[in-house]
Amino acid sequence: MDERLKFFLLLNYVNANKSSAAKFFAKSDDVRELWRPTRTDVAADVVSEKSLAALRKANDTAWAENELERAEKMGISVMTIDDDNYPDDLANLKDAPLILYWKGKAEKFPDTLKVSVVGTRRMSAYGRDVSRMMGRMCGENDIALISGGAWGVDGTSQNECCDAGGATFAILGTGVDIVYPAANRTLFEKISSCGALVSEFPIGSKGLPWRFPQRNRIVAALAQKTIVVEAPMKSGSMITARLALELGKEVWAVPGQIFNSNSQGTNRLIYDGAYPFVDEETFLASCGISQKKKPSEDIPENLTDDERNIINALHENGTMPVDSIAAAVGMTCADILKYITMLSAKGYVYMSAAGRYSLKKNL
Amino acid sequence: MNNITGLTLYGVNGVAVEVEVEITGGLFAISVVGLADTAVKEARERVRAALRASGVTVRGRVAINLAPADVPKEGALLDLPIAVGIACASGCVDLPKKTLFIGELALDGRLRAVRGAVPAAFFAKENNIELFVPAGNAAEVSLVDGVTAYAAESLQDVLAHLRGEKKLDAVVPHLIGENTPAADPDFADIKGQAAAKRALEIAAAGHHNILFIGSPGSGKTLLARALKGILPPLSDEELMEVFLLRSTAGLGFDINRERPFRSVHHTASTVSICGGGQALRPGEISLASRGVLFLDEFPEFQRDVIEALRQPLEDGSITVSRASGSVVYPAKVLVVAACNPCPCGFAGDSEKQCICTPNALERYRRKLSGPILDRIDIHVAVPRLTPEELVSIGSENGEKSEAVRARVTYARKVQRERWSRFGFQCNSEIPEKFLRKNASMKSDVKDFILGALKNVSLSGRGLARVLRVARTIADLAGAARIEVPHVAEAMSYREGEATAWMNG
Repeated sequence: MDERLKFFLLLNYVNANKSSAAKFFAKSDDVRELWRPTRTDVAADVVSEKSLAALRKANDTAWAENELERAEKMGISVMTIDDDNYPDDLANLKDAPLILYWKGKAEKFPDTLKVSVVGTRRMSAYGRDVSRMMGRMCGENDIALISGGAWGVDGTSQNECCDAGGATFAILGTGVDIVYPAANRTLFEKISSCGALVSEFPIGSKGLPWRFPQRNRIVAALAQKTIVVEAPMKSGSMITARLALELGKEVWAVPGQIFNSNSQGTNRLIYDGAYPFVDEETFLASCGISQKKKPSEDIPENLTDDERNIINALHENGTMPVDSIAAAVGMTCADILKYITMLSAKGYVYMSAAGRYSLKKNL
Repeated sequence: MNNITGLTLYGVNGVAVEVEVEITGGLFAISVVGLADTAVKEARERVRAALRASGVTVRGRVAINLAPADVPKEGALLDLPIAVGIACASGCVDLPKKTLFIGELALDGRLRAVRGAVPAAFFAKENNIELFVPAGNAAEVSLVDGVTAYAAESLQDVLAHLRGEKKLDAVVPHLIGENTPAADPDFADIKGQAAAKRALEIAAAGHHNILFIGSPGSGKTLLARALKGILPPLSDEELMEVFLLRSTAGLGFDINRERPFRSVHHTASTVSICGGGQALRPGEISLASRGVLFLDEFPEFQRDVIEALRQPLEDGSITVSRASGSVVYPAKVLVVAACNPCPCGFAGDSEKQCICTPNALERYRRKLSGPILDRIDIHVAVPRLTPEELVSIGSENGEKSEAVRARVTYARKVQRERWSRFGFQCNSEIPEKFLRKNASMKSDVKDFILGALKNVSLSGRGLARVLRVARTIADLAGAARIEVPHVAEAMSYREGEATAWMNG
C-alpha cells in the first residue's frame, strides 16, 4: 500500500488536517514515522496523545488497508490532498482536509463557476420557493451547486438543480455511505448520479454534532460565491457565510421579512455588507452570465381570456387560495377550480402551500 | 306446549330463546340454566321483585331453562319473558299462542328500554308472532312495518293484557317521510374553501374516501361534518340497516333519513372501531355504515387500528370473530380522514412558522403513508385562510348543501344505472381491470394521461384511482365519456399532487 496514502488516511482518521501534516513534514520526511517511531517520536509533537494512541491502534488492526477495501466495494473513491483533482481552493486552506471521500458520477469538482447555496433546515414556504429557484438557476446556467445535502434549503436546492440537469455536490457531515437524514435517500442517489457526495469523514462516520459545522469550511472554500437563502442568527449557514467572508469570497444573502427569524440572519448579513440577492438576472450578471431568454417566460398564446385573468391575478398577488382568486377575477369558485386544474396540468401554476396556488414562472 | 319466547342477540340478528319454567314444591329458590350471562342470572332477583309488585306470588322451587341450551344468552332483555313464564307456570295467566317478549324489569314492575328492539321486531315480523316491548322501545319498533307489537309501561300492564283485563293498544307503524332535516353545518355556512367543498361533492357522489390535510384552524372538521348534509338521504332498505345496527348497539336515534356520522378519536381501540367483545357488538365502522366515518388526526391512530380498517373498507362488511362465534356486520362507510401537514401543524402555512425538526417531520410523514392510503381516492389540502383573505372573499359563500345534494343524488343515480347490471353501486367500487375497459374515455384522454405520467410516478393502482375519480367528475358533469378536464381535476386529488407542497 502506498505509504503516503496510508499516512493521510491515518491522520484523517483522527480528524487531523493539513496543518498537522505540515507540522509533521517540517520535522520528518519519512511518513512511516507516524505509526512506527524509529528515531524520535515526531508524531507525538503533531497530534495529541489520545489521537496518537487511537491512530496507532488503528494501524495495528490494518484500518487503512481495510478502509480502502471497503471504499472499493462501495464504489467510493478516495482523494488525497496531493491529488491533481483535489481542488486548489480547498488545498489553500490551512486546515484543509487531507482526504476527501468521494461517491458519485463526477470525477472532480468542475473548473467552471461553483456556487454554494446554504440555509436552514427549517425553511419557510418562502425559503422553499427561493431554494427551488436557486437550484434551477444553477442547473440551467451550468453553475455547480455546492451544498450540505441536509434537509431544508440544502436538499431542496440540490434536488431542483439535479432536475434542471445541473451538477451538484453535497459536502456531508457524515461518511459518504451514511444517509442522514434517512429520508434523503432518493435525494442522495440523485446527487451522486449528477454530481457527487463528498466527505472528509471516514466511511461509516455517524452524524455527530461537531461534524456539521466543521464541514462548512469546505462548503465555503470550494465555491466562488456563497448564497444564504434563509438563516436564523445562530445557525450553521451563518458560520459558512462568515467563513466565506474570511476567505474573501462573495457572500450573497436573500432578503426576507424582518420579523421572520429565518430571515434575521440573512438580513443581518446584508447589513454587514453581503450582496442582497434581489433577482436572478442581477446575480447571473455578476457571474458574467447573461440569462438566456426562456420561451416559457411569456404568458403563452393559447390561453383563454379567463385563464389569462387568473394568471394575471396570481402575478399581482403572489400566492392565493381558490376563493381569493375567484373574488379577485369575479368568477365563480367552480369555474376557477376548473381553470386552475387545467392550468396546473399544463404546468403554468402549482400548489405552493396547502390549497394555495402560485405561478410557476415566478420561480 | 310452551309459547313464551325471548330473544338474544347474535350480531344484528335475534335468536329465539324458549323460556321454560317448572315450579316444584320445596323451599323458595329460583335457578336459571342455559348459558346465561351475569345480566341474565341476575334477572331472577328483578323478576321476583317485579312479580311480587305485580301481585303474583311465587312459591316453591322455580327452575328456568333457556333453550337452546348451547347458545350463550346475554342482556337484560330476557327479564320480561322469564317473568311472564313464571306467571304462566304459576297459573296467573295463560298464553295460547307463541309470543315474543323483550324488556328489562325494574323492581317495582316497570319496564325499561333495552337494546335490540329493532332486531326483535324483525324477528317477530318474519315469524309472524306478536311482540311485547317496553314503552321506551316503542318508537324503534314502530319503524318496522308489518309487525304486531304492544308497548307496555310495566309488567302489570303486560299481565293485564294477557289476562284480557285491559288490552294494550298495538304500536302504530310510523312511516318515515322523504324529507331530511336541514344540513348542519350547511355548505353555505362555510366561508371560502371552495376547493375542499368541491372535493367533498366528488367524494359524496362517487363514494370516494377523502383525506384533508391542513393546518389547525383551517376547518377540516367543519368540512367533514358538512359532508353528511350533501349525501343523498337513506333509502328504506338502508334506513332499516342503520336502525338495526343502532338498536343492536343500544344507541338512540333520530327518526329521519339523515346518514350516520361517527367521529372516532385517535385513542380508540381496534375493538371499538371494528367491533367485538364477548357479545360481538358492532364497532364504529358498522355504526357509521351507509354514512360517514370521520378519523381526525389520522396519523395519530395506532397502526393496527388503521390496518384493521383496510379489509372492511375493501369489502363493505366486517367479520367479527371471537370465541363466542362470528358475525358479519355491514361496513359501507365513507371515510373522511383529517390530518395536519406536520406535528406542529404549520408546515407551509402562510403566517406561522413550522417548528418541527426534520426527524419529527420524517416520522410523521412515514405514518401518513402506507397501504391505507390506497383506500383513499381524494387528497385535498385545506388552506388556513387569513383574516384578510376572509374579508376579500366577501359575503358570497356559495351554494347551499341542498343544491349540491341534488347533483350528488343525480350522479349516484347515473352510476347505479351504469353499474348495477355488474353488481356495483358507485364508481369507487369498480375493480381496476374492469374500470379500464368500461370507464369510456374520449380519445384524447389517453394522450393526456400519458403526457402527465411522464413527470410523475403513478402506479397502476394510482392510475385506477385517478380514473375512478375522473369517472365521478364526469358523472357530476353529466358527461357520458371522461374528458381531459375531468382527468386533470382527478389528477389534482392524487396523493402526491395534493401534498407536493409539503415535500421540501
